[in-house]
Amino acid sequence: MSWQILLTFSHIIGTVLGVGGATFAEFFYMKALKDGHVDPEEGDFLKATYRMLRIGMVLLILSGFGFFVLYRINGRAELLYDPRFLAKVTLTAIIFFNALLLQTKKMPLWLGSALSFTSWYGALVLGAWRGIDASYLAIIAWYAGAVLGVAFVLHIIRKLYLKPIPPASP
Amino acid sequence: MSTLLKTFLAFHVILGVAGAIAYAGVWMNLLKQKLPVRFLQWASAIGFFSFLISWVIGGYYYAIYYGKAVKPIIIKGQYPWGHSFFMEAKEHVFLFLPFLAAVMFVTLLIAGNRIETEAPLKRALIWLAGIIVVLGIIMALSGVIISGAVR
Repeated sequence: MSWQILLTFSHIIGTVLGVGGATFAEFFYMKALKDGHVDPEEGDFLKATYRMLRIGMVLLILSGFGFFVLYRINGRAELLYDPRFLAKVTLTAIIFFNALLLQTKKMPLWLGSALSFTSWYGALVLGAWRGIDASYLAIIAWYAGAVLGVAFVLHIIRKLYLKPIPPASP
Repeated sequence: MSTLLKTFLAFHVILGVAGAIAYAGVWMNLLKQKLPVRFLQWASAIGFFSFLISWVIGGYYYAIYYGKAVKPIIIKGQYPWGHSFFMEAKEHVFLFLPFLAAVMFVTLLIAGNRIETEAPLKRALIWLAGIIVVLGIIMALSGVIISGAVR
């Protein structure tokens, strides 16, 4: 198996774990909050999902830098300044710092989940969309717009799904 | 570039990134109320040795190959700041990383369970881990910028 194939597999597995993890983290979290509190079983599900997310992130970062080494060694340095590659590096850095800020509770949850969700899906889209013809700034501008859009949609979903629980009748 | 130098370059990058990831794990876990001390000690050991090996082989690559074969291409190319700013900064800042990592590793080994109860020590270690991770990320991204300038 060539390095290229090994790295591609690792990169895809990392992205799948990350995108799936981000999706299920949001889903489980909302489901857990439906009754107003996170019980131990729901907490276990969330912990397992966050663990998968972290594994996905590590695989994505290591395989991403593996590609960087491969490009450098094969004399294809121009790919390192490719807007798509730089945008993916930016999104990966955002995923990492967002996870850290969420852990330290320095990031509001509405923004943190929108950033995580959009960044993982953004990395997937950029990875798959090989012929994209856009500058780095254009990609990041679209991404910033998508973050706001996703935050709004998640807010609406939460509002509709997490209706206040009526007080118990005497 | 010889196969040995290609291997060294690959290990320099991957071990450097692995070291930063290991210290990111240390940083995140230091922020918890109940500290997983064994995990912290192992992660800091992996991070420290990764940085150390990355440092030595990166230094070898720099001294043997980079200065003669890569630097002139960058300086004459479209992006001379790839060397004059990013590599100049990297080669100085990178010197700190294994020492900072060693301080963290040794402190975690010696202080162990005491860290949880000594708030000032814990706070200092959180700051140290944060500095190591941020410097590690800056070094890794500088490497991408420098390599991209080789044309």
